[in-house]
Amino acid sequence: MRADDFIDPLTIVHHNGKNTTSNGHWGAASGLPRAGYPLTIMFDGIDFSPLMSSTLGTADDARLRDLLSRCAGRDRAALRALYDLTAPKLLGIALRLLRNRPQAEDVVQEAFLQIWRNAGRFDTARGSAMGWMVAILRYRALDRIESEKRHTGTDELPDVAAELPVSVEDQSALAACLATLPEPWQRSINLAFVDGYSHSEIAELTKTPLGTIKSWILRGLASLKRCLEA
Amino acid sequence: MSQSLESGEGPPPDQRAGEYVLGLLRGMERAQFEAEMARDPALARAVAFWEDRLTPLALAAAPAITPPPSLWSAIDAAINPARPMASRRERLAALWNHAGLWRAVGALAIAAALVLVLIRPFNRPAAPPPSMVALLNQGNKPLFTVSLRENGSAQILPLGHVAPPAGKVWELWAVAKGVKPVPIGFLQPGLTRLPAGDIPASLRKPGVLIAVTVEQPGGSPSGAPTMPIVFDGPLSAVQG
Repeated sequence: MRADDFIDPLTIVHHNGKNTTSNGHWGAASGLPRAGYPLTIMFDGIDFSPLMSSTLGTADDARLRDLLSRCAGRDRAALRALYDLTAPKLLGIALRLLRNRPQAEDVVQEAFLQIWRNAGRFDTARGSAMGWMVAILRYRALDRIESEKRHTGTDELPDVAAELPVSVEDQSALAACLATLPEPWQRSINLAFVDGYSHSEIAELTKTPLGTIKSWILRGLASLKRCLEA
Repeated sequence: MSQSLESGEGPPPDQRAGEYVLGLLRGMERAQFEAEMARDPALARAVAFWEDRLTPLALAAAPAITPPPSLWSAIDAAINPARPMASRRERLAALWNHAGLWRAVGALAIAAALVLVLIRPFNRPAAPPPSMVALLNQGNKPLFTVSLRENGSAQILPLGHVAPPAGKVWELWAVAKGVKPVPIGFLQPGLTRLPAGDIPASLRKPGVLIAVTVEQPGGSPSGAPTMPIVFDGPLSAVQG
């Protein structure tokens, strides 16, 4: 354990929220069992350049694609180069989702092993190399969230969500499209994608009925898709 | 869970793919979606669309953090067959963490389950036909079949590849109107057999709901479900 890596200014409080919407068939099931989990925020080692824009540009993504194809040929130096370019950002994403440094590091390790094994399956037609790697990292982090039940019993928004920029690069189509959504829809999508909260956790955090959250997100996705394809 | 949206057809594939990429499909729902995606290239494309398009949001919202040197060493050790690993413990840990191993174990388990399912009818004397059956559905998707024999024993078979969330179990309940749900055992991802007597005779009736919740290993300590139903189906009598 690296206790020194943590400060935990926020401790998520135990509370017995009443779900306003029914959960399955158990009329009496008043939400999920809860446990208080400390929310840890890591300052140590954070590089505050908010965007690693060098891996977002198409030219740089071409470099990542090249490294991936070398990884497919079992070139370990290529994996190391890929790691040097992307691991800091992937660790940041994992930490934001998991809020636990050792778990975030584990997940980055799992992700790189999967990237190494599957590099040959990366298909440029499906999108950017960085997007493919971020997706792999996120599914491993989601596995961890599910197995640790990390996100139970929160009743306040983590301040980290307010401190770090959630707006996307100005020039990205996603930023423009997100900006067209009503604020509560944007926020729900962010809480899911960026912070790894489930529908019911978002409902609880925002004190909004579960059905409303589900519908906001679905409608938000439908609008985003139309906007991104326009 | 998301019962409210699962009545009827549910959201269109593009939106379900979006929910999956946002990380909103959990446990069973996620496993089921991934199985569907493996069969449906259009759904896989919809997922790839969202993965790629949402990436800028993930990148913008997280800081870059310098990993400790030990992180690369662990990765390097795992991919470097020539270099012996530092310790047996590390090697075991790497194997344990190896997703491919678990996929292989999972695939073998499915293959074994299929072999059981497919071969059993041919090399066994015909078992007595079930007196009652149920189809356990999540939304409108059937996941398991339940066959109940006259003597009260039951056999439950999966219709696809599904598993409870890691570290959790599926607990089975018999639910009749106006009565507290009765725990009747645990549901395995493969074949489950419940011995005669696990389901009380008073609950072996058409209309009684067989329901499944996700519980801690060992089951709900209170004897009452602590989580919402993830899937269920009513018993119906087999016309003999």
